[in-house]
Amino acid sequence: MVLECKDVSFGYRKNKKVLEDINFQIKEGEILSLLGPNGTGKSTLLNCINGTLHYSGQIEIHGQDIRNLSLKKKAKLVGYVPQQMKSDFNLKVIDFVMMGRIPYSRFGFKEEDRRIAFSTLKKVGLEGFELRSLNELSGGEKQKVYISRALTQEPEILILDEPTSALDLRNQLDVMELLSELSAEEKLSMIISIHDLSLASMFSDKVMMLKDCHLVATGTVDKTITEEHIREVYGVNSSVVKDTYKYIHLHRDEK
Amino acid sequence: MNNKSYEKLRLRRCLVILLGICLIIVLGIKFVILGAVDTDYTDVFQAIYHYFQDSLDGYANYKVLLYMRFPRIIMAIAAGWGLAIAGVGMQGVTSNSLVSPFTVGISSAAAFGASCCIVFGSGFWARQEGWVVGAFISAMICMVVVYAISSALGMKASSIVLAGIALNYFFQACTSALEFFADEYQLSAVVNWSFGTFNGVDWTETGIVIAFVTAGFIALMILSPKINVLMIGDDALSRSMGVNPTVIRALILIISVLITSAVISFTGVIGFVGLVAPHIGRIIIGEDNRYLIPFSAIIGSLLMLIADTIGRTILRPVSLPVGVVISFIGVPLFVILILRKRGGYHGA
Repeated sequence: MVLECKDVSFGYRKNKKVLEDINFQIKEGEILSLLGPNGTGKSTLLNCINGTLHYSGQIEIHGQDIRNLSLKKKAKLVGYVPQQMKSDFNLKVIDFVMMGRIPYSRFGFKEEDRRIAFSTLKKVGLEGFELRSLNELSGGEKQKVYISRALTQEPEILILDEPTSALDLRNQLDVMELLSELSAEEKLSMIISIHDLSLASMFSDKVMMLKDCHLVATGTVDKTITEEHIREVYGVNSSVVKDTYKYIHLHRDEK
Repeated sequence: MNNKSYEKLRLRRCLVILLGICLIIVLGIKFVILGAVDTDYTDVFQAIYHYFQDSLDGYANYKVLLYMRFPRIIMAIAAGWGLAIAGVGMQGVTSNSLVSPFTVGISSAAAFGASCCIVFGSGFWARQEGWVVGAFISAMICMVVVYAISSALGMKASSIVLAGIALNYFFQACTSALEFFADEYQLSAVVNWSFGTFNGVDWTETGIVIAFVTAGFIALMILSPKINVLMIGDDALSRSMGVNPTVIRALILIISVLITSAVISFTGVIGFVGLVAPHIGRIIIGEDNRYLIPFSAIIGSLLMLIADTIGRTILRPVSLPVGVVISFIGVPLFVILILRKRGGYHGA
């Protein structure tokens, strides 16, 4: 087991929980999609795993309680791709990706760090983009650069907060396909917070549905993304249609 | 694209920095002979020769060169270097390009400290050295208060800026109140101090500033990859990369304030460099702090060197304060550069 969350709870204020008793596990190379309405605690759960919030309960990576790890050690285990970058800074792609080597470097980067940064850019299909400025890139390319930066940390688990939310249909598929390939080739476990149920169905090994800070359902796509769960979590009636690809076509009929 | 292209980029950036350093040396040598007293390059070599022969008596020109011009030129380089790197550091960790070392209230606090000594000081505190110490202590008090308020608010980028702006206004009000009670001589001294000038700097003062600036520069260079991370402006992302934003912000705040306080305690308030040198640096070399810090330092030094030389030669024998001249030179230069780079910062 790569990651195990046991009774994880979190609240920004006392008596106002954002997450309550969340339990789940993730195996090597597995993709887990986090589903649920806005404000239901998906990003908060990712930040707990990321080690940036003080939760109660236990989160273990390879049996190690992450609370006992330094920030640098955590950074070598968990890579994080945030929902969006807040700053309008502009760096060369390679300089940005190289930031992922900070947990491994003390006084500047070494040749090995550069080699890894180049290789992760190649893995995400951005070979030749190294000396481009970040501001020159399209949304899809930027998202791949952010993923590449997280991969440069050589993590055991990659957590991504809504990686497709700002992308068009083509780029959504590209990014999810890339993540799926990386997961399979690198045996990299991933937790992805996502709103698109179809994409989650296509690319996830496991799905977890949250509502009002509680875990509603978790398990395989077949068992979890059901009309009943969608109604319970989103308050939406729908038809879940199985097609030849993998699963799913959601059809909202009435509220 | 491969590692070779990246090596070329690194080499280009290093060459730009090296060229900048060469330019500082060339201009420093060129400007040292300019001033109210006419000197030439032969005098420079003669002055150094006579200094080592211990035979300077009777050579007033050589003494002017050795004890006035040299420390002044080196102080201008060190002050520009220091204020610029303090600006890059502050802008980086607050993710705010409008921040300068003075945003955290340091200049107002130092001015208040010096004014207190000028108006109320006696004995040591009534002398020039006392003003310097007073300005430095007051700036340190300001830093401690900004640090305390920001810490209480979680050491966020916005909390540093807000606490600094509030203290800036507070110390400005305190200085205005002092000016109200000051007599004619004291008022003139307070205003003169606030102009910012290198008049009368000596080797001891220059040495102290060099020590602060060098230590600060080394610390900032070591922290530069982490400043890059904080520049993104997402604390959760910074932590996920093993960088504690609270600790790094506090460190950069302390380093920037120490450098700035050391400089302005001796020179008076010289604004603008800390704000504009990082911007000019970004336009030319890009936003990577590993290169931006040294390159902004070069820009700061060049601006200061040119401004001071114009200030002391244009109306000679009268010397204009460098703080005033630098704005006259820097603003048009800055506007030209941002108009030419309307598409954004790309750099070398």
